[in-house]
This record gives sequence, structure tokens and C-alpha cells, in this order.
Amino acid sequence: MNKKNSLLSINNLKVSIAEKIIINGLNLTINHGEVHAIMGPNGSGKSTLAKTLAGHPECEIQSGSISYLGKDLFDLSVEERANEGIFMGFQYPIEIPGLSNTAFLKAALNAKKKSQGDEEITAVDFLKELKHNAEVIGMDQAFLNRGVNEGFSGGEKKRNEILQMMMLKPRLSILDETDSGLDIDAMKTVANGLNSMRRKDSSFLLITHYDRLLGYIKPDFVHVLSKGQIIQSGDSTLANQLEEKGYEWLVKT
Amino acid sequence: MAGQNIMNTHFDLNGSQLKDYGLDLIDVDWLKQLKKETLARLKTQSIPSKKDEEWRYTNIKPLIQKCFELAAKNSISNLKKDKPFIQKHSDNNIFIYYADGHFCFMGNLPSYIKTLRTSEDQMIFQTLLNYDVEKIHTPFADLNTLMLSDVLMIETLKNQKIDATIHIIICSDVEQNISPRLLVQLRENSSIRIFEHYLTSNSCVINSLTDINCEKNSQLDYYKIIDEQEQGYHLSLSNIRLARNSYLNLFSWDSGANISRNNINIDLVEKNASVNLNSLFSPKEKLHVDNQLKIKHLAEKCESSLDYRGILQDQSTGVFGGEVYVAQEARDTQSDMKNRNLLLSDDARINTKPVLEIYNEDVQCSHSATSGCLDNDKLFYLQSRGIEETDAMNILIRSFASEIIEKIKNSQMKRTFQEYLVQKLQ
Amino acid sequence: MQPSNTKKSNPEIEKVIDQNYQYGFVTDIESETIPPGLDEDVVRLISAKKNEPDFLLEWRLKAFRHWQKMKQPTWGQLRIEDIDFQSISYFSQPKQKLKSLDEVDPDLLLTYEKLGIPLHERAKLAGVAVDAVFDSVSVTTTFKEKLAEAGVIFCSFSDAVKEHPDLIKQYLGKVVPYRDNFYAALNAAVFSDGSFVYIPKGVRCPMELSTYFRINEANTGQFERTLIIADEGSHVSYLEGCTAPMRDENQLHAAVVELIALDDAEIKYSTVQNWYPGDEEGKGGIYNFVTKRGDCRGKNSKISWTQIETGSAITWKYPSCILRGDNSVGEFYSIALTNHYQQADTGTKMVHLGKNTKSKVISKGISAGHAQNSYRGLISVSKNAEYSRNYTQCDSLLIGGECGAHTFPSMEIHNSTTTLAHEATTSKVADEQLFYCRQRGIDEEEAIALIVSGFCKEVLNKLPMEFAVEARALLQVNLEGAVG
Repeated sequence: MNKKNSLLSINNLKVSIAEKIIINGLNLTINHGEVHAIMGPNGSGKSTLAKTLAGHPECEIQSGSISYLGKDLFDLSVEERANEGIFMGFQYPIEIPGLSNTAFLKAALNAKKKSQGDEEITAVDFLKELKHNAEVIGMDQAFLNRGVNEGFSGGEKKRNEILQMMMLKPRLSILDETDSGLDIDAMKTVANGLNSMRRKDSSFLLITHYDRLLGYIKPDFVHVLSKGQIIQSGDSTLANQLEEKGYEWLVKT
Repeated sequence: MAGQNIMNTHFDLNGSQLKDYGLDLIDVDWLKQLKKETLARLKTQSIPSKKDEEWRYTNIKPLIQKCFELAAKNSISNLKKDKPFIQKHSDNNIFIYYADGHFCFMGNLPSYIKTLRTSEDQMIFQTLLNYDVEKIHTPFADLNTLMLSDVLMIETLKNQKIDATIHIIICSDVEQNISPRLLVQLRENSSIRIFEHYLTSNSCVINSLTDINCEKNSQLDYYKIIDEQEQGYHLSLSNIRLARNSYLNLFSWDSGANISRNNINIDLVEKNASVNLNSLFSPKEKLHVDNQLKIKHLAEKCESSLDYRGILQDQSTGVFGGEVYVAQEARDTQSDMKNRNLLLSDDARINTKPVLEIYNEDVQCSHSATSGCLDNDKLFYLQSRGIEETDAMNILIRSFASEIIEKIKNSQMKRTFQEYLVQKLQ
Repeated sequence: MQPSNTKKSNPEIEKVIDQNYQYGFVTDIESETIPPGLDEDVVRLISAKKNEPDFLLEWRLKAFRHWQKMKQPTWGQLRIEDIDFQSISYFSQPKQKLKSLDEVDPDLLLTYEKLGIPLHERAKLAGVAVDAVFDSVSVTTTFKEKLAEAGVIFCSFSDAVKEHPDLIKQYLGKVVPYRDNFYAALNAAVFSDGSFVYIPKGVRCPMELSTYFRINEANTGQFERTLIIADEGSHVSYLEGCTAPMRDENQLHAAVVELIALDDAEIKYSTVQNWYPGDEEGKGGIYNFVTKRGDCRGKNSKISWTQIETGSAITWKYPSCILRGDNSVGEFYSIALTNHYQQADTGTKMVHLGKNTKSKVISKGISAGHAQNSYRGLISVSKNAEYSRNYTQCDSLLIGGECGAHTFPSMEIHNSTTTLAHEATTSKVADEQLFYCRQRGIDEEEAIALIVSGFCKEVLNKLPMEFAVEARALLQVNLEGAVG
């Protein structure tokens, strides 16, 4: 399982939040270029897995290990993980009033460049790329100058997450319920953005409740999470089965 | 200039004895002793003046003068026996009147209510009053102790849920000095509803003091209407202490007096205590209402919410001084303070000062204050529907007040306030 | 085990690292400083040194006699050590007399260069006319000639006394009388210099005017006075900046600023205050007790205050507007950032006297470390100020659990046609906001700076372009040590 050239490898992970075990012995390997979907009922630990990978302070690691690009993930701070290419699309994106989207993205992009020893991006190049990406996902230019997620609707916030992902070009994108709260058009544009990024050096971990998004983005693997463990893995047909039968039949066995 | 002021700012009680002012109203030794000590202390205290930030908008001198005048004039020892206005208790309503210097009632009081004059258990009064003196030593608290002639105590039992409304009606139709004292002790996990109603029809001075202690998980539903005659003076001080998970819900309406001043101090001393204050004040003519609130968040996860609305007519004046203090230990505090005012006359005035003092980062606090006349657009809209201007204005004024009243959950009390609204704002 | 993910109480925020006050150097220049102490003779000496006309000396003496009767104020939430007014020297000036910028001591020029002040060539590039006040004396004013072409007078206060005594006589002390408060009286008695601006009728000042203040000598107080008069229909934008060396003792700065706007005139006054704030233990730093007031005397006049207060051990100032003229407008935009043991008590008074007067107050207070930050304000509407309006918003942001943020707004409304709205919020930099930024690769310190600048946006936007960048940088520098 633990291939040397894998992007991410999670071994027997146990995580608690506020002294309650949420992830309980989870194993998962994601290789370069793969798209994985994690499905499961509410409270199965999906969001905690995403937060743990991103390094959220409330997630307390009880045991297990995660290696990312051959490094121990726990040695890296939140921002180091980000600059090494881990991107988390938030289920509930945070508002930062007064700080413009553009300024925020530029700061993030330059932080990444700095960590890699690269020159800062020029304003012209930055804006060109930003506008292009905003078009791909159908985001109005006016949003770019508003405060980060400030007064955005649920759908606008999710689009904004995808826009940030496209700008930061992560190696591993963890999208936590990015499809929730989206209407069908928004879903398509979000999927467009996602599909435009699918290539050998970018992998995805899609966390989702339903298979709606998976109709637009075909995953290589589907895993079912229950009580903090992966209880079933398969290819994209597993998602269809879940849609038909629900989770009950798996959880019971 | 400084020398003169110092003379004037002290209580001028030199050489006076208790009996000089008719202050030895009850023949109880421990109380006389307490009053003696109080008098001695009061002599050393200074009278607040407009130079004190807290008294900037209210001139208290005429009140204090009147207070002593009346005390000297009428000693309230000979009590009238029959009081025809007293209502009978019913299952849901207990009626207690404060008249002629003592708390009176028809029939028997439930065991959780006691008065100093009728109770055989003097110890508990003595303990609580002495304790109060330690705790609250403002000149007006001292004045109350000095002049009190009876004390009402409500003390619930653990787990006792009292469904009745306790009506406390402070009334008078002669010019007199009234110093009601109320002690409320809510034991663990108990609940009660109290309705305090001030009804006076002559130029009385009321200086009331209420001390409330809410223990763990207790709930107090507290209503207050201050409806006094123009020449009256009303001073009330409430000190409220809320322990873990306890909850205070207060609705009040003050229609003003010559001077009406309400001080409410609330200490949220333990985790998860919460307080919800809603108030209307609506002085007319030359009446004056001054609201002073101090909410202290002293423990984590407490909540406070205040909504005070002023409706000011004629030459009336209103004051709102609200202060929310958040101590360093009071993490995860939530507080919201609102003061909205309608100025209905060019000669009316409002002074408002919503203060936040915060010593802790983990808070969500906000306050807001507005002042203005009736919204012309709304007025026009109503008139365009054929409603006459004065009626339209009344509708808007009432709806401004109704927003507070609609928050009352108890249906009986809601009706009482609605009726009062019709009576007061027509 | 100690997992890297766990970070419950955010120890980094509590950790205090060295703060870097980059203006803390002392310039080695020969100065003439009079011995400490204050009596009538000192007042006379200051006046004599400046060859002042009699009316000014008389005024100073009246102020001094009044001051002697006054008591040092104890104010609000401030903890102030007793100030010994006899241990301060009330006058200090560089020994060389200066005729032009070329004669300025190169050390002094270097000082201003270190301060990043566009005094010389850089001034031309930036298009900013600068008056620089070093200790108590104005050392140079640039662009005098160009401004003179437009009829604008921009010079040191001393020069104005010599060259335009009538204007001084007419306006000095009219907005802030010496009786106003303790420090205004002290300033009136001993002020040594400052800036003077007069914009004639109908003139739009062709460039930004700017003054930089610097306290250099030890044990001196700085008492400057600024007077700006905008005649009918004129317009001016003025900016002041302030720095001081790092010293262990507290130094006093008690300035007075008076603004007068006649009919249809507009004055925009911006301050970037970065006096030495003291060290991270709270030792040293400037006591900044300033009285600033603008008189919207004319119809349709406007006075706008913008201030970025990041320095000083204690700041005590309330730039105010008296809205006398009908339709006049007063504005106050403020950012006050306090860190370590700094204390700031600042705000504004808007006094509505004329009809249809409008005022707007936006105050942003940021408190970190052990600092205390208070907004204190008064909106007063008189009976005659019909249809006047006020909007006030004061927001506080707290960083770390040992600081305080307080709001003391007073509103006195004596008019029913007035519309007034006041809003205030207090919040912290949310952990989730920090996590969000960090997840995007931005480190904690920069994340805080970004969140703070977002919080302050409405005020930063009011600064002249040239200074907005400086102000942002200043916020970031002063937040250092607030987080690890």
C-alpha cells in the first residue's frame, strides 16, 4: 500500500477533537494524478480528515502517521503544508472583512513563491491569470475587489474557493463538501474549474455527501467512511451503488 | 470656590438623631443599631453632583432635600388598619401592597414570602440586611436602610417552580417618603415571576432598593412598571447576582417622574449565566428619566442582551447610560446593547452613553444607539392609505413600543403591558 | 504525545518578541537647550528668543498664569505617572541658524532621510511641500516659492509671527483658547514653533502640505502649535508625521492644532503619529497629549480628520469639529493601534450648531499585548441644529487575552429633526480567520497584518495616496511582537 512514490499516505490514523475520537484507524494512499472521493454519512469523520490534513489546531493526533511527498506531515506547520501544495476547500469558507480578494490571493501566491525561492509575481501577470480563471468558473469580476467572502452567498463562497485553488495550483486539493449549497449551474462551473486542473501532478480528495458532483468529475477511487474508518473502497461505480442503496447496507456489515 | 463646594457635597446631618427624622420606625434593636451605623456613615459621604460622570445629566439635589423634608414631617408609625384597595390572592396571582410604610396583603402569604414586620424569623433579615450594607454602600442604598420601615423577602426552595405572579404594588396617595426594600433569593433550580408596580398619586419620594440573588439554574422573570405622578421622585437601585446557568428576564416601563432614576447592576458571576433586559421609557411634559445599567461579565460563556427604547415628548429629558464590562476571565462572552430613541418634540432631549469596557479578546460585543423623529416615509405611506396624520403618528409610536412588548413570552404580562401601552401612548 | 496539530491557547500570540522601532536613533547635533524648569521668566525667555511682538508675550503670560491655577487632569482609563513639569526643558534648538536647505546640518538632513521624509529632492518627486520641526524649532520649509505663486502661505509659526502678525493675532487661540484644558494652557505658554498655513480665497492648494515633527534632545518637551486657515472657497490637504528617539524616560509632547474653515472651504488633516511608544516592558515612550480642533465657521465648509496613531506610550487626543456654519461637514477617521503597554484614549467631539450639519465618525481601535485602547467621543446637537445628521461607527479588534478595548461614546441630542446612528463592535482576530489564511500559505504574522489592514480599510482609504503605503507598513511594524 505504502508506495514510495505516492503523494499522500495515511497509516492507521487516530484523531480526536475535544477528547472525542473522530478518526479511528484510517488508512489511505493517494498517488500523483489520482482523484479520490470520500463519501459517508454525517458524523463519519469526513471533515475531520480534511482538517487534519490541513493541520487545523483543534484536531489532536492520537496515533498513526501521514507522509506527504515522503515527509512526515506532522512536522509541517499549517502554512508549510499549504506552500508544499496542500489546498483545502472549506465547507464553510471564512469571511475576512475589508481585505480584498485580490490582495488576499496575491499575498497567498507570493507566500508560496517565497517559500520556493521564486520571484514575486508581477501585478500584470497576476491580474491576467486571475481574470482568466474567474471567467472559467463564471465569477463576476466585481467579486475580486470585495472583501474575502464578505457578504458572499453560499454558492459564491464555494466558487471563490475554486478560484483560489486554480490560482494556487496545489498538488493535493482536498475539497470539503464543495458541492453542498450549489445549484446545478454552479455545480457545472465548479466542475469545469476542477476538470481544467486535472493532470498528472495534481491529485484530488473530494469529500462529499452525495454523488451529485461525481456525475461531473469521475473519480478514480471511491471510499466509504464510517465511524472514522474506511469500510469500503471501489471505483466510481461504488458511488452509484451508494446513491441507490444508501449507506445502511455497508454500515451494517 | 472649591471650599464652598466641599461643604455642599456632604449630607448635612450634623448632630441629627434617628428620631429627628422619624427614622426609628421599627422597634427592633438590631435594626436601630444598623440604622445608627448607617447614619454615621452617611454623614461622611458626599452627595453626587453633576460633576460625577454618572450624574452628569440628572440633578439629584431637589430629591435629597425633599427626602429629608418628608422624613422629618411624617413618621409613618400609625398604620391604617383597613385598606380597601387590597386585592385577594388567587391561584395565579399573589398581591402584596406597600402602603403606609409596610407591606400588606389580604389572607396568608405563601411560605416563600416573608415580611420583616410579620415574620418571626428575624435572623434571616438581619443577616441579609447586614450583608447588603457590606456590599452596597452608595449613599442611596444607605438612605434606604436608614429610612426603611419594612422589608419584603421572597425566598424560593431548591427546585421550587412557582407559577404564580407575585405582584408587588407600591402605592400612595399622600405626600410621603417611601423606602421599600426587597430581597429575592432564588435557590438552585427554582423559578419565579415578579411584577413590581409603582403607583403614586402625590409628590412622593421613592427610594427603593432591591437585592436579587439567583443561584445555579434558577430563572427570574421580572417585570416593572413605574407610573408616577409628575411631582414625584423615583429612585431605584437593583443589585442582581447571577450564578451558573441562571437566567434573568426583565421588562420595564418607566413613564417618568420629576426625577426618575433607575440603577440596575447585574453581575454575571458564574459560567453560562444570561440576562435579557428590555425597557421602555416615555416621559412627557417636563419629566425626566435616567437609566443607568452596569452589566459585569465576570465568568466565561455568559450572555447579556439589552434593548432600551425612549419615547420623548414635550420638554421631557431622557438619559441612557449603559455599561458592559467584560473581565479578563470572561472568555467567550456575548453581549449586545441597543438604545433607540424617538424625539417627538423640538424641546425634548436625550443623552445616551453606551459604554463597553473589555479586558478580554474572546468576546463578541456590540452596541448601537440611534435617535431621530418618526420616519417621514412611513408617515406618508400611512397617510396615503387614508389615515389621518395624528393617527398615523400614534400608530408608528405604538409600533416602536410594541416591538419591545412583543418579546414578552408570558401572556398575562404581555396583556398588562399592552394595556399600559394603550393607556400611556394615545 | 505532542502532536504538531494541537495548538490550544495559541502560545505564539502570547509570546512577546522584540519590537523594532526603527526611528529610535539620536542625532548628534549641537543644540542650545535651556535648563529645565518653568516660571514666568522662562516664558519671557522663549518669547524673547523668538523676538515676538508684545501681544504674543502677553497672551503667553496670561496662559501661563491660568495654567498655574489648573490641575493635571486624571483621565478615563489612563495610567499616567506623575509628571514633574519642573524637570522638563521647554526650549531646545539646533545651534546653527539656517537660511536655506543647503545650510541645514548634514546630520540633520541624514536624520530626515532616515525618517524617510521627502525633504529635499525627494520632496520634488513626491510633490509634497514639507515643514520639518526638530525638537522645538522649524528647521526648514520646502517649496515656499512655488506655494507663494498660488498665494498660499506655508511657513513655520515663528516666521508667520514675523511676517503675518495680523493673521496670527486674528486667529490664534480662537478655536482652542488657552483656558480650554491643562495642556492647551501649557502649550499656549511655552510653545516654541509649529506650522502655519493660510490658503487664500478660492485657491485650491496645488500640493499636499506636510510637517514632520521630531523630538531629539533628552529631557525636553515638545510644544508645537499648528494653525491652518482656509479662506472662502479654498481647499487644502495637510499631513503631519512624528517620530522620536528611544529613551528610557517618558517625554512630553503637548501640541495644539487649530483649523478654521470659512465659507465653502475644505481642510483635510491627516496624521501619521509614530512617536516612540516605549519598549516592550512599557519603559519610556512619549506622552502625547494633544488638543486638536477645527472650526467649520463658514457655510458649506468641511473639516476632515484622519489619524493613524501607532506610537506614543500614552496618547490622549480628541480631534474635534465645531460645526458652526450651516451645511458644514465634520469627519473623523481614526486608526489607533496599541501594543505592549501602550495606552491610547482617543476619539472626537462633533458639536453640531448650524442647520443641516453632518458628521461622520469611523474609529478603528486595535489592541494587542497588554495595551489599553479607548474610544471616547461626544456627539452634541444643539437645539438650533435642525436636520443635522451623525453616523458613528467604532470597532475594536483585540489580539491576545491581556489587552483591553473600551468605548465611551456620549450623545447629547436636543433636536428632534436630528438623525443619529451609532454602532460599535468588539471582536478578536478569529482563530478560524487565521487558520484560513495559513491554509493559503500565509504565515501568522502576515495574516494578522492582512486581517488588521482589512479591518482598517475604510480609514486607510482616506489617507492621501503617498501616505497610505507608509501607514500600512507602520501598522505591520507595530504589530510585530503581537504574534510570534
